[in-house]
Amino acid sequence: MKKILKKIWELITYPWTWYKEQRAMKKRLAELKKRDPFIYK
Amino acid sequence: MGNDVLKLTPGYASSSPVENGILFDLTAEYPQNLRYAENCPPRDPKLGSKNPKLSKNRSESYQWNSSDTEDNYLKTKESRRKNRQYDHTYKPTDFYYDVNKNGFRCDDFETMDFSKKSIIYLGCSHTFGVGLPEEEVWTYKVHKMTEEWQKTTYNYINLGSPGVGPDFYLHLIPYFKKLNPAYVFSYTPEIHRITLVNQDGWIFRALPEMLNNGSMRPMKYNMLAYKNLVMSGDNFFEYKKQISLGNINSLSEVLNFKFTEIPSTKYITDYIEEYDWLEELHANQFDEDGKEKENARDDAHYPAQYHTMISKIIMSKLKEDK
Repeated sequence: MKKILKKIWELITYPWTWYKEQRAMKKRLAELKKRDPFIYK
Repeated sequence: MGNDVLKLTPGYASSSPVENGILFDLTAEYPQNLRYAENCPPRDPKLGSKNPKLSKNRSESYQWNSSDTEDNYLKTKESRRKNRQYDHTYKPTDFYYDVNKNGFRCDDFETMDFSKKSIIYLGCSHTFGVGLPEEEVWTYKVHKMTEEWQKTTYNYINLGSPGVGPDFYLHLIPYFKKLNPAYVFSYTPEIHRITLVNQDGWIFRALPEMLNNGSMRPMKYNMLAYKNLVMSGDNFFEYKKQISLGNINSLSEVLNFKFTEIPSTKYITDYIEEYDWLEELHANQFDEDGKEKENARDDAHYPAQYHTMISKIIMSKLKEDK
C-alpha cells in the first residue's frame, strides 16, 4: 500500500519534478558555458 | 601495445557516425586525431580548397576546419561591418590547416627522426590553432623559444585536437615513449568535455553544449549518463583531469622529460596580471578607441597576440620550475 501511494505521489508531482530538473539543468549549462566559452560541435 | 587490443570506430559529434567509418585503431603505430575521422574522405566540400603550397611532409590540407567555417566567416564579416569593428585579420586563403596522415597539425610522424628529442603539445582547439595560421599558434612560438633557449632543434609534435577534454590525453600517453619527448606542454582544456564510446562502439566527444540542443538523441543512453555526470557536479571531471595529468607527471620521471601545464580555463588576463604584462597586451590589442585590432578567423578563438602571451606564460612557468 505504501508503495502504491508513493507511486501515485510521484505521478502527481511529476510535472513539478520535471520542471525543477529542467531549471537546474539550464542553470548548470549556463554556468558551464561561462567557464568554457569555446565549446563548439 | 598488444595486437589483441580492441579496435573502435570514431563517431561524429552529432546524431550520425561517419559513414565510411575509418577504424580508430588503438594499436596503430602512431596516435590518431579523433577529429580526423570527421574530415576523412570523401572530402566534405565545406572544408574548402587545399593549400597549393602543401609541404611534402604533410598529407592533408583544409581551408576551413571546426568552428572556422566559410559560412561563419561571411556572417561575422557582415556583423563586423555593421558594428564598425575591424575587418577580419585573415582572408580565406591567408592560411590553411595542413595536417599529417593522422590528422594532427604537424609533419607526418614517419618523416620525423625519433632518435632526436621531441616537444609534444597537448590541448584542444587553442593548441590545434583554430582560426590562426600555424606560425601564430602558441605551440609554434613555444617551440621556437625553447629551441633558441636550448640551442638545439626538436621534432615539433602538436597533438592538439579541437573539442577534446583532458581525458583525451590518456589516448595519447601510450605513444610518448616512441615520440621521445624532452618537453611536454599542455594548455589543458575545460574538464567537462569528455570522450565517450556509445553502445555501437563509436567514439565521440561529449560537450555540455550537446545536452542543450538534443543533437545526441540517437545516443540517448550515453547522453543520459553524461547528463547525470554533468548535473552531479565537478568531482568526476576533476578526477578524470587529475588522473590524466598525474599519468603524464609520473611518466615524465620515467622517460625523463619536463612537463609544463597551464589550464585554459583561467583567463589570459589573469595570467598576464600575475606577470605584469597587461600594458604590453593592451598596447598590441586595442587601438586608441579601445577596439580590438586583431581577431582569429572564426571570430571566437583567441587572436594571435593572446597566443604570444600564452607562449610567454608557458615559458615562464617552465623556467620557474627548473
